[in-house]
Amino acid sequence: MPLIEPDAINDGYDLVIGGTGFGSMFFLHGYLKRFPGHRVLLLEWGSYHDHAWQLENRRNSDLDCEHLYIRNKEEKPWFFNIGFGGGTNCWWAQTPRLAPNDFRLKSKYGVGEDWPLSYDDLEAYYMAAEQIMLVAGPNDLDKLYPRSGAFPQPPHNMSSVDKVMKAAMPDHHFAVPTARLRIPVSNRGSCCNSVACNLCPTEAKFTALNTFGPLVDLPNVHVIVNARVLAVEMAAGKAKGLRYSTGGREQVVPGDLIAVGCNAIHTPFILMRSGLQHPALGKYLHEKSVLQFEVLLNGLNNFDGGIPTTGCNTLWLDGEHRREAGAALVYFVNHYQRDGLRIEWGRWQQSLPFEVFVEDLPQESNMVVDEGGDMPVVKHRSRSEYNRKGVERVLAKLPELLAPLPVERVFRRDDLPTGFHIQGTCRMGADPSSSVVDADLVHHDIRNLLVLGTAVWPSCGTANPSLTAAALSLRAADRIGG
Amino acid sequence: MPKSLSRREVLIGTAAVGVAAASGVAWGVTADIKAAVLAFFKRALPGVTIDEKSAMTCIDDFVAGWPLAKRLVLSTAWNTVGVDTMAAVHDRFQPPARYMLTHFLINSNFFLVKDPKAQPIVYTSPQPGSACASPFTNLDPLT
Repeated sequence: MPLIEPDAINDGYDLVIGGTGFGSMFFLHGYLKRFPGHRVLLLEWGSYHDHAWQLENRRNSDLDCEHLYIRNKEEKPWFFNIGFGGGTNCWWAQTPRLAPNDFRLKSKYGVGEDWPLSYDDLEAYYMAAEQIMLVAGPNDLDKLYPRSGAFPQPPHNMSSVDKVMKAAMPDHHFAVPTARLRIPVSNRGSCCNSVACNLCPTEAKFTALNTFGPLVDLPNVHVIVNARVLAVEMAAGKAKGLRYSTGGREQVVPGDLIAVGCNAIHTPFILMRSGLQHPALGKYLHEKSVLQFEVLLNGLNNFDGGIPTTGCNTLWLDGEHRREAGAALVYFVNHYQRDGLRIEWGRWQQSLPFEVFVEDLPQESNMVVDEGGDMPVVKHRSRSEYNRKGVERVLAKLPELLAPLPVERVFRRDDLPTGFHIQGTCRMGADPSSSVVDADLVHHDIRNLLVLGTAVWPSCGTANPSLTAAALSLRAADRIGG
Repeated sequence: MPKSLSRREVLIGTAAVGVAAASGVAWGVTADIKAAVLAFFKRALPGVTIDEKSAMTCIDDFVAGWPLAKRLVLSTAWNTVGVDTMAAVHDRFQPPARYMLTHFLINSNFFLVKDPKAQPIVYTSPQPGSACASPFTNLDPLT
C-alpha cells in the first residue's frame, strides 16, 4: 500500500477522503470505477495494522475510542474503531438490508422522517455491495427485502433451534445474511464459528484490508495514516481541501472533491469546525437498543449451526404498531460464550441466547456538540418514548415469538449499553432546511462536499447499518457529477 | 460489557473486601476457592474422572481475567454457600458458574471422547487466536 508522508504531497488531488471505514472505502471503490485515473488521497486518523498485527495483539486498533470523545459518564457509551479500515475490522458482519418501509416511516406510519430515496432506488447498490463483500444469505429473504438477484454465497447452516422456528414461521425466520464466507474465495477462508469475529482467524469476514487492497495499491491512490482530519477548508462556498493534524503539525491537502466519512461522532464535529453551521448538524444522534435474553430449552439442542448468529426473525420488523412503538429485529445466537453451556448433565446445549434490536426515533436533543475542546462532546440524555414502547411491546409479545420452542424458562440478561451503530448526526433529506445532505450524500450548500457513512441516517430502522452505508456510498459514487 | 452490581452483590462484595483486608489474604491464590470450584465441577460431572491438576490450571486461567472486585464477590459467596447453591439463589450468580464449567468442558477432551465417564477428562489451556473451538458447530457444506 502506498503510504506516503505529508511532505511528499506537492499538488492537489481529484478526491480527498477523510476516514477509511465502510462509507469511505465503498465510495472509493465506486469512484475509481468511474474515474480510474483520478488521483485520490485517503486520510486515516489511526494506524495501518494488518490482519497479523490485529491477531497478535488481540485488538483492532491501538487507540481506545473512549478517550476520543467526551460524554457524561451517566449516559450511554458509544463505540467506533479508529485505524485503517475503520469498522470493517471490528464488525461482526451481519448484513441485513433496511426494509422497504424503513425508508418511508413518516409517509407510511406518520412518525419520524422519510429518507430522500426509496428501497428500490438503493436495491441495485445493495446487490453490488453484497457482491463485493461476498455475502452469504438465503434467497427467500426476498419476501421481505425484494432482491433482483441471488446472494453471492449460499446461507450458512441454521441451528436445530432455527430449523424449528423456520418450520413454524417460514415467512419470518431466516438464516442470517452475513459477510462471512460459506465457501472460501481467494485469500478469504470459510467461517469456522470462532466467535471472535472482530479478530476473524480465517479471514472469512469481509474487511477493507482483505478486499480493497488492490484499490489502495494503485499508483494514483495515496494513504496517509496517523493523520486526524480537523476541518474542511472552505473558500467562496466551495470545499477546497482537508485540514489535518499529523506528528504535531497541521497540514492542508487540496482537493477538487472532498468526502468526510469519519464516523457519526467525529464527522459532524469536523463539519462544525469548518464553519458549516446547520440546524440539524450534530443532532438526532441515535442507535437501536439491544436487549439480551436467554431461553432454557427442554430437550432441544442449540449451538449446532455454522456461524455465531444463525437466525434472524422478522416477526416484529414492520407493521401498524410502528405508528406508536419501535420495530424490532431478533437474532438467534448460536454460541455459548455469552451465557455458557447448561450445567445439567447432558443438557449442555439446551439454551438459546438471543438479541433483539429495537428501533429508536431520532431526537433533536441527542447530539454531538463542539464545546471548544479537542474532542467532540456527546449528549445523549435518553432514548425516545417510541423506543420505550417498542421495548415494552417486545416483552409483551415474547410468548408469541417463542411459541414454537419447548421453553423451560426465559431470562432477561443485561441490555447491551451500545449496539456499536452510531447514526444520524448529518441526516440526509430532500429539504435543505431540515437535513444536511441530499440523497446523493452531497452537502446541500457545498456541492463538492460529501458525507459518507452512518451519520446520514434520518431514521433508525432495525438493521445493522454497514451494508446500507456501503450501498449508499456506491450509489453516491455512481451519481457524483452525473 | 460492564454490568451494574445489584444491592445483594454490593453487600456481599463489601463484606468480602472487609474479610480480605482483615485477613490479609489475596483470594486469587487461595486453595479454598479452587477446591470449592473443583467440588462444583465434580458435582456437575458425576461419574467423571477429572484430571485435577489440569482442572486447577483451568480455574487459574479463567479467573485471571477477572477484576479483584469480582473475585472478592464471587469467592466470598462461593466459599460461604457453594458455587451451585449461589447459582440457584440468584440469576446473577448463575452465569459465572456456567462460564467456568463451560470453559473446562470446551477446552478439555470432554466432548471429544465417546464416553466421558470412561477416561480422565483433561483440560488444556486454549491458545490465543485459535480457530473454531466449538465441538457442536456444523460446517457441513452440503446440509
